[in-house]
Amino acid sequence: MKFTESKISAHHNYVVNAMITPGFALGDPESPHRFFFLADPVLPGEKTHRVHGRLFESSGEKSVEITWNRVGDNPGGCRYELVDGGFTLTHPDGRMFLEVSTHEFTNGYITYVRGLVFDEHGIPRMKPEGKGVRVFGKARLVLDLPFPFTGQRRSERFL
Amino acid sequence: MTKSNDIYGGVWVFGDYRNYFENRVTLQLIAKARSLAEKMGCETGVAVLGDDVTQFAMEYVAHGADIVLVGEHPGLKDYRVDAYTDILSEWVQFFKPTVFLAGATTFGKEFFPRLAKRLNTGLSADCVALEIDESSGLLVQTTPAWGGELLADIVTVERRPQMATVHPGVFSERPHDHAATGRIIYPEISRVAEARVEIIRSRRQKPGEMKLEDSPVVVAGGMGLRSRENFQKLSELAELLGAEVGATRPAVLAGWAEQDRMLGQTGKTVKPKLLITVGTSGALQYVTGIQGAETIVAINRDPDARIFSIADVGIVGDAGELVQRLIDSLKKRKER
Repeated sequence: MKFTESKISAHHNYVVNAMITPGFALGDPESPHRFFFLADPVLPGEKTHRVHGRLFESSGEKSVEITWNRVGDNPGGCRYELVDGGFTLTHPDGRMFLEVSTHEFTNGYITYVRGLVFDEHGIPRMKPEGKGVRVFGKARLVLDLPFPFTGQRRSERFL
Repeated sequence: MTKSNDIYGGVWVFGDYRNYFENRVTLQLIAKARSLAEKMGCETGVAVLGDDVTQFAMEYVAHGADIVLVGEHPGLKDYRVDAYTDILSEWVQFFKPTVFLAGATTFGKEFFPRLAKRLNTGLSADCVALEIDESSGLLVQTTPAWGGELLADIVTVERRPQMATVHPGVFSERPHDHAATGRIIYPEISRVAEARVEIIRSRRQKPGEMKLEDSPVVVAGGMGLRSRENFQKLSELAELLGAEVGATRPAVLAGWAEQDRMLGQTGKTVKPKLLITVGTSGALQYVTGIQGAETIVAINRDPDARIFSIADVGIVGDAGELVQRLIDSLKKRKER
């Protein structure tokens, strides 16, 4: 019998590759220029997702940076909108780029991430699948602790 | 004992999440399974089937499960004994749990015997205690026998898994731990048997109809009430007290109360702050289900009735008359 396995948090999980996981990372979150997408674990007491990323167009041009669920550098002119439980990013022409929304249960939370995301080579790294996403390429599908940023990235991002 | 950290073997519980916040038996069984698994040096697993069951998987981890096995499929949205039996028998044959437990709910009572038959193993129904025998390592399953006249200790020596259903309320659940983590396994579901029964509509019972085990006050009656009319007065008394009504097995068999109101070894186990037991003799099989009550008030016409030996307050008199006087008194008090 085939089976897949993941970790699970009692408090909060994301949906990726038809599984739930406390957190996941695509690409290299430490890189200053290259693609990454980080869905960081949400700790007990916190109520919402922690999403960071540097996302690219299918042409390989940088589109937008996300830090702590907010838009930073935005050369692609994406439209950021807060919605119930999360946020959406849309391309200037109105196409949906990324949706992130956290749903509350009686005793916990789950975050659905949906989007079509490319890296700096124009290679798709994340596509919508069911209620979540299917991811491709270098990935850590299970993070049970917040990503251990070091050095410059840590000071830029979190201090 | 050191835990094996292995997904094979282990003590499993069936995740029955219907009426989740009223039906706590799965959480109670997870707590018991965990203590059994610690003694056996293995993991605690919960097997859950459905269409969208993520929140329940998280709850089971929060309450002590090491591993949750999840089978999600649109065809599993509604409980179906054939599909559930097919899938779980495959899982059990592959992962080989040593013990598999389920709540002795209407659901568990229908589904678990079929699963045991499919797996060619034994099943102890309506257990009131579970322990590991230290010398043999076997699960000792204590269950009422001979119509509840005695308790039998049963072991499954050769077949696996050792399967049992357990009454709601027999064990206590662990507190919810938000910081808990576990493992989640998604076994591939090759096919879901085509439904032979179409569910047209389902209706949940009103909350007030199903909280007997959780009610802080319970009014219970037995054959000493002598008539259905007298027994029905208990509902009025319960309403005035904000209580739920329970019944002895003979009262249920007489048709005075529904099956789901039955207390005792073959019924429900309650632990209310106050239990008023009216016209009940104090038979062992009934007392087993009520002895966890903080305060027991017993009413019986026989001063030598066994129920008085466990009562905190005993009133000797005609049960029907005394219930009516209690109702009148409470009504007057409310009118003031």
